[in-house]
Amino acid sequence: MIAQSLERLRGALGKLSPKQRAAVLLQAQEGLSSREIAAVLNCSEATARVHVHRAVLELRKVLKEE
Amino acid sequence: MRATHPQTALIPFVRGELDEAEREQVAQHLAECAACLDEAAALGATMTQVGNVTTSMPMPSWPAYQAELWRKLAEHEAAGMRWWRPHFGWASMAMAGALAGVIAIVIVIAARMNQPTPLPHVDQLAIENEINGADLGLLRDYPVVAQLELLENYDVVEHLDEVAPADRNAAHS
Repeated sequence: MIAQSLERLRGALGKLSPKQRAAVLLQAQEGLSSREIAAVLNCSEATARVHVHRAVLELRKVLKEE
Repeated sequence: MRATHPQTALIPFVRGELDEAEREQVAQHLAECAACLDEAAALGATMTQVGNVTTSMPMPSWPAYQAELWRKLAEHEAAGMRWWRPHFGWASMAMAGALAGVIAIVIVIAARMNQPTPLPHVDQLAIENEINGADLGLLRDYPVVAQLELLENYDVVEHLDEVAPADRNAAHS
């Protein structure tokens, strides 16, 4: 089950834009805040929040399909 | 008036990242908006799920990437410097030797023109023995190289009268 989820998530992550993918992984895996993600991605905090939010919405669609 | 739903602030709110003022605003909104309250819970759950599932995924580590980038830049710069430095070193030594030779020729010629005195004795044999004994493969031994060039210049200067005008001009250049 976890392997399947991982595989589906890999596919979903690949379809995200590079910044959305980076933003969601930085938060989900590294635990960075929106402000820290903004510093890494060289964007505003508001933009970083948008990247994370949109990425999570896309990933949720994939995870809901299981 | 249409209500503003703080959609992009929901995940930071769930993670506890908002400052006090913004946290109060979002909390007040969630108390009044069931849809956003449900959405906040769903988004938080999804983030937790993503974190659990992606734990084993190779993750681009930005600090490691930056460190690797700086390391490669430093290597590239060092390689450029290694290529550049020895050539500059040889050029400077060759130029210094040539300059010393030219100065020696000018001084000697001027001295001969003013006072036709014999050249100072140069123990050429001793110099030749030293040069023959030196390992000329190690061209970093600058004094040996410099002495070799000066020896050649002395030889030219001593036999300057025998040098044809055209060759003399070439020797001065």
